[in-house]
Amino acid sequence: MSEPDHDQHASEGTPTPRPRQVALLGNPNTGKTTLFNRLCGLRAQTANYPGSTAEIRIGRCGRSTPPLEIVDLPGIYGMDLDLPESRMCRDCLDGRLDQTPDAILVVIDATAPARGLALAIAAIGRRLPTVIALNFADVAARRGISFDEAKLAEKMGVPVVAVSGRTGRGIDDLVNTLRDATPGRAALPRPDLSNAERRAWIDEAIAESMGGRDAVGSSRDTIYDRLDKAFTHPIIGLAVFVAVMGGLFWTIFSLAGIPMDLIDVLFEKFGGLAAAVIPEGAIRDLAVDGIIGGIAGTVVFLPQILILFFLLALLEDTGYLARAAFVMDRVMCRFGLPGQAFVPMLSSHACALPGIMSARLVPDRDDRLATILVAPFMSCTARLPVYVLLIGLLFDGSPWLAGFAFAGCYLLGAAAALLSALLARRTILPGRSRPMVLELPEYRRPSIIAALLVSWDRGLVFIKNAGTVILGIVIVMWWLSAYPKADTPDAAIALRTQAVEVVDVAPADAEELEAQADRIELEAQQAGSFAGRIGDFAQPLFAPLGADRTLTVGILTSFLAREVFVSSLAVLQGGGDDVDDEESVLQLVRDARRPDGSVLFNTATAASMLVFFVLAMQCLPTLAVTRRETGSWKWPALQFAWMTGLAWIAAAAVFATVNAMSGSA
Amino acid sequence: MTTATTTATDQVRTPLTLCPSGCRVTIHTDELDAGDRSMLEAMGVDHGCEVEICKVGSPCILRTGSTRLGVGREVAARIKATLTVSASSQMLS
Ligand SMILES: Nc1nc2c(ncn2[C@@H]2O[C@H](COP(=O)(O)OP(=O)(O)OP(=O)(O)O)[C@@H](O)[C@H]2O)c(=O)[nH]1
Ligand SMILES: [Mg+2]
Repeated sequence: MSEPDHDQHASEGTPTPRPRQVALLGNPNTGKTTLFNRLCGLRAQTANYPGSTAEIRIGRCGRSTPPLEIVDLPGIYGMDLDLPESRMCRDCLDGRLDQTPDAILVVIDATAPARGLALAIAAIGRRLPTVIALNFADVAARRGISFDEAKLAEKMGVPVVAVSGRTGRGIDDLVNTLRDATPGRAALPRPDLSNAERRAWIDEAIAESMGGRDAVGSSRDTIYDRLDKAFTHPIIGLAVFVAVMGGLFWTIFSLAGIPMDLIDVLFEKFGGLAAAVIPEGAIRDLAVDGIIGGIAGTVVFLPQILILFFLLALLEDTGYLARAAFVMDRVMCRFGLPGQAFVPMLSSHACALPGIMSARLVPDRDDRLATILVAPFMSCTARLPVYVLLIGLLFDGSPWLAGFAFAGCYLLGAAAALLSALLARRTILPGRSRPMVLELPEYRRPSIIAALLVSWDRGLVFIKNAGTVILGIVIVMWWLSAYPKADTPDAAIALRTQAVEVVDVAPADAEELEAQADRIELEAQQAGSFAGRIGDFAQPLFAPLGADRTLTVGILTSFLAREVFVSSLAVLQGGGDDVDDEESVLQLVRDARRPDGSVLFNTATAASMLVFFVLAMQCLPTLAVTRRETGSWKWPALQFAWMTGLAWIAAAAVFATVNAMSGSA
Repeated sequence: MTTATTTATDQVRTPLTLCPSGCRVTIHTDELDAGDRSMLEAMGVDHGCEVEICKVGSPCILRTGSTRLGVGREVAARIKATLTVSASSQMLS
């Protein structure tokens, strides 16, 4: 397997020896990541191994001299299972991902150690230095569970340290133990024992070294039973889920608005500043319109992403999401998706970027890929302005129909997503869905710090992505639409001269003339640019959807980002790009004519455009994020081809149908 | 005596989905395919082990030791169980 794309070993030229690498292994939810953060602080790097959708975090623990390198692995139930997480842990421990780790730290939940010990036995069998961390020592102490670490260590043949990732208890001890660990030497249960015999061995080990386990209160079980029953109930559970998700998205939208506006203003100021400093010319255009504009267009989504991941992490920590997955599974399984796919799908209604990033809630790789593939079908907020415009054209003066059309757009998007997922699961991702068996973790008070760390991590990944791939694409698109520079049309020059003449007598008129000149110039630029020429070239492709040359250019530029469509239409129809007022854009677009003088946006064209915008993949940042999350360009390419192809077919069908109907009427 | 205890004394294997909630059962996973079986095993539910059924339906909720598992209806229907302690006798004890 090839090298991961993290730069951990960039300084390999220096002769300093590699730090001792420790891999964190354990069942899900045993606190590996919490422990990892305790050990490494924020100095962690995320390594995305090629071909995998899961990430492994690698960090340096400076508490020990020499420092340790810690690898946080995904939680697994068994080392030999035929599941991607298990495979990834095997690959890591066998040195197929990077190097063979120098030691394994098996993290076990001290309040329920049996399953963790089974995993520890498998780990110790690998003959690598191994240490067992009995995590959740704080909870165990609260529940009156006592353990004799020395006795357990003797039985297992490796050091055992009681720790708490949350309170920090035992961490220094753990670090020292890890530094000095040697391979285990014990009479572990022979590998040929039956399951029952091995379980008996483990039960014996627990009985010998732990006390007070019977103190685990049955009152808690009763409460858990009630909560579980309610949260997974077909009706009550659904009601709770709707309320929780409603609250989640309400919070995101109400909190994200202010920082988003702030980012807008900030970048505008920054752009203005850059424009003032850099002399006029290509460099300034690139800096202001290409780079700053491009970054601004992506970074505005950062607040939404940060808040979504913060809240999701809190929610996941409480233990509720595992229950909710069962509620949604009843709906999603009809479409070949697991219940966990619901959150990414729902988030995508705000914006596909956080939606796709939250697909890591989906445990199975194929399920996750299917979810990522279809999530952008959901109508995101960026499509709204286009819906407003086109539905305004179609159903002017009948608010009821317009309302239905809006709902129809959202439904069409969701239906396309679910049916595409079903198709994908039947064809390209034929793997059987993972059986819906989930551990229902204990209900816990969520940790704000852990949630902040998650949201920081996701934010960083997003910014990195925005700063590289997205920025590159945006610059290329900008260049295509800005070059080659067209000569200023004579009409614009004439208007400018006129403006100079009247500026003293009628300044308002002069301004209007200037504005007209700008518009004409922009139009000429759009037509003459590479993008415009591509528009000429591509027009026949979009003719079956009812598009003429200008509309084709509008569609093409909207592949940069959908929200550009409305402003570029306004520009193309000679309205200037500062026409903010919806009414005036609507009027402009309604008045638009084809070269032959007929109305551009007749019913058939408007309807076909609407369908096209519901379904087409017109968001480069989404493609870039898909590439990041899936680790290959194959998936974004498929996403683009499938969505846009489907959009084209559906839109052409609508255009032909409406035309036929109005022709026969 | 409830019908459930009658089933228990008969040692009839019933799908998990048909067991009454609140009882303890012995689990038989031999009708599952290997992948599902080894996953359940790793999660702490192996062939022949005893679990408590907290809830029947979609999902079935099982408890073994201190872990709780939610099992989707589709898998639960393929897991067979024989009753060891019925809900009513457990309540009496
Ligand atoms: N009280 C207490 N809570 C802890 C401790 N360690 C972790 N937690 C909490 O347990 C939950 C799960 O912790 P994670 O660190 O995400 O567990 P993980 O092993 O990384 O989970 P996966 O990556 O899903 O396998 C979080 O809510 C933590 O805040 C601890 O020592 N004491
Ligand atoms: Mg983790």
